[in-house]
Amino acid sequence: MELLIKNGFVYDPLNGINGEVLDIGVKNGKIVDPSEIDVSKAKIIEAKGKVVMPGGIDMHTHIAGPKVNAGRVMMPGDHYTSFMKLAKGVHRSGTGKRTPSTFLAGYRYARMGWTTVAEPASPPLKTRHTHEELNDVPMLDKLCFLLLDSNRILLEYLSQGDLHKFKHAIMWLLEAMKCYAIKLVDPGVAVPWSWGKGYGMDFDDQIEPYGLTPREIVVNHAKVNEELKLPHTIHVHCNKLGIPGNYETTLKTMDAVSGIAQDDFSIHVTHVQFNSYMGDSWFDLRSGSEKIADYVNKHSHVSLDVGQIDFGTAITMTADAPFEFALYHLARWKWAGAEVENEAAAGIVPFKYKKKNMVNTIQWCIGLEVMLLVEDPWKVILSTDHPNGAPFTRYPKLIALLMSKKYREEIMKKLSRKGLKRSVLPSIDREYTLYDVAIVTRAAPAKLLGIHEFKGHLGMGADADIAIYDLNPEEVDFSKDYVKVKEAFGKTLYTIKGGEIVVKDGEVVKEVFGETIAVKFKERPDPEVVRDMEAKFRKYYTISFSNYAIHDGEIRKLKYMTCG
Amino acid sequence: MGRRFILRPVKEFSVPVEAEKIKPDVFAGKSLEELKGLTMYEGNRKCRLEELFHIEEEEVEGDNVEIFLEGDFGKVWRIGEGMTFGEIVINGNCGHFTGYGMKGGKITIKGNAGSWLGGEMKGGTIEVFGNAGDHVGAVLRGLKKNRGMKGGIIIIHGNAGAEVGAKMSKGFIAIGGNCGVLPGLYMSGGTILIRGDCQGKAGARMSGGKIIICGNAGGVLPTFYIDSIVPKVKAKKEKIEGPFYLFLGDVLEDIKCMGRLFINVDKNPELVKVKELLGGEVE
Repeated sequence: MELLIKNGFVYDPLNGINGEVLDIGVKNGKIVDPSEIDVSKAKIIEAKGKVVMPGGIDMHTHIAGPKVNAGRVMMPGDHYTSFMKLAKGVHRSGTGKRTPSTFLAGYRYARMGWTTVAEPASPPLKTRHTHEELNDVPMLDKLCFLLLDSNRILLEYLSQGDLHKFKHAIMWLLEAMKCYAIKLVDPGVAVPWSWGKGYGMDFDDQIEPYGLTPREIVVNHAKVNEELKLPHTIHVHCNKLGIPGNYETTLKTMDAVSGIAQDDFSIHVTHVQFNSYMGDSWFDLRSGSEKIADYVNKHSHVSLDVGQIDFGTAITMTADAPFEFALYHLARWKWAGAEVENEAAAGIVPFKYKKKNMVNTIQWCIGLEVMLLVEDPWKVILSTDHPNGAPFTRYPKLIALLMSKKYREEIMKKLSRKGLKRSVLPSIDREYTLYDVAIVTRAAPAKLLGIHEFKGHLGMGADADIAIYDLNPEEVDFSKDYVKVKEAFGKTLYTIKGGEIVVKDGEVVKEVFGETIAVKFKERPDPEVVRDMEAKFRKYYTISFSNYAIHDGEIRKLKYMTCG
Repeated sequence: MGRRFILRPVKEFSVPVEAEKIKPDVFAGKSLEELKGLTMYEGNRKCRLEELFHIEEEEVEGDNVEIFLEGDFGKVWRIGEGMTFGEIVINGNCGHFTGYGMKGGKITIKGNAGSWLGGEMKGGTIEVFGNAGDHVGAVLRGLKKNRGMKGGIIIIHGNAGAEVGAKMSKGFIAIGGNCGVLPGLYMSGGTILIRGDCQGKAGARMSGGKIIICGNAGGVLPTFYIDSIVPKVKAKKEKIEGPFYLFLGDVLEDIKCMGRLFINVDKNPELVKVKELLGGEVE
């Protein structure tokens, strides 16, 4: 199928195109020069006065995996109010608001113009389940990050100081699990949690019985990540998440890995909003966003995503089990906890962010402050840590908030005054341009994930993932007409995935399935190490080693990225 | 002039009919022809009201809107959902979700009612002369506390099923016969009166309100404290003669134990040992 998108305002930061009126040609699922298109055969989309952007990329969204499934079971109340009807031959039905079903998640992302997502935490033993669910997510290209921080086998190698085995075990795990990057969640916390401890574990606390500290875990993973030349950096959820005074821990974590990668990013700190609290307790909580933004502005090895909250209901789910247990005592509604044999522990707690609540107000401010105070938009990504901060369907609102100070003031009128006094957001005047928005939602995530050669831009040879929004940058004043921005980003005029029109006027018109991207190494894992792992496996695990690895055939569409 | 509509099923329904449009709010101000053209679902098929029901209109005195449903409406769901005024009389059985979320008016059911009768109700009256199903005045699963019944009156002359008044915060439910397990689950206010027996676990996780069981309670949960023995108890202006054990709970839900559970002394001989805790003598 050939397409020609004519006369749109193109925003393509990876190629430095800022709102120029250009034509874009699509042929065989790739972007080509418009002159190659046979105009008589091609479908022509007239995009005059519309915004054309590459498909959005969300690098941190929990949309698949066992804990999401548990979240779905815990929230039957969502099914009455949020559902999508079946359209025969076009798309399937689905329910769920905070934790939508796999199909619905795909449709909702496509309707907003997003085409690539990353499921950021999957323990190796449960990754088969994650891939089964990702196989069912339509409209999107998928990545999966592997949860490795509390893996007992890796921790044993690390405590013995055997970095060769440590590196090759990680290699084997990433390849066997068909994953893309290393995720560390509250590094090492699942080990003390086996004894009911670990809440508030700091960066230099000992992890018994391994005699390690979270610092060693983070630094060694970062080193291995650099040696293996993985496309993404380590993806870190810092220690002491959600505890007042944790900005220091976050700074320590960032500082620990400085210099590991030369002239490149060496750490991605995720949902930093939950990790930027100043103060000693919830009563004297203050925003620590200035400190974090200051550090990031001065250093070039750190990238962030915000994990912005939005008021309303959310459901927190993370592999940081002790924190979830503590949160359950605050929220007093529902809690689910789970432990994955030797690999991780997780918790799920539904939570409501309230406008009049001081702490929630500060949280809301911190996320926006970080986005606005970090000068270089290539270092900071928009995310809601779906479904922890808010469902991903709030992105249009968040984009409007970033682009309009008036809108922020409008909302701040309804918030807790005490909370606003402890934040710096009221004094920030910066407003994002459409180009900045294209960076934080498209170009920067592609660059940070290392998929910028074929995703996140509209140059020749890129995958034809395109979103066209009904927004005229020459007519609309974004800082005043925030409602229009919100509406435009909420429903695309067209979403094109892999060269096919999948969404038209905000309605799904075709169901397509994207690829799952995984890494493959040129170097083979040392067979000696694999044998050693197998012996340990027989000792520790309930399943056999031969059933552990995931085969190529188990994934719907697998695409390898070779590295090393 | 008041209006009275009489509806009779055309056939015996084999699949559920979603009849949320059968309520005075919709019927008032519409001509008979318009009403015949109302769309509703039978199973997954969209059809007109006249394909499912015969409808007649009479004029009555006053200015009330009344809907009479004659025949078996056991497969017809959501009758009077969210109604705010007027009256519905069902001469026969009715299906699930009757009077769900209603805010005012009256529903009288001469036969049996299905489950979730008057769930999330905010006002008005429901009277059932037969039995009712499970989840009377309760909330759909998974929703938060205080989302259940918030006002109004439900009177059931027959028996009721399990989880009567789950998550209710206000209002009054009276059951003439027996009821199933877990009456007043998660309740935080309001009154449940059970004149017959209960199958057990009354008031599990309650944090307020009042449950009165005049028959056998099927035991008391261990998370309740005995407070005293009271000679009689008041329920919606009526004085019910006891004596009753007064238990406070549920300590699992709220350490303050604001929920009150009254259990008849004479009908519950297995609870006689709690008198020891009160310092009385056991006969």
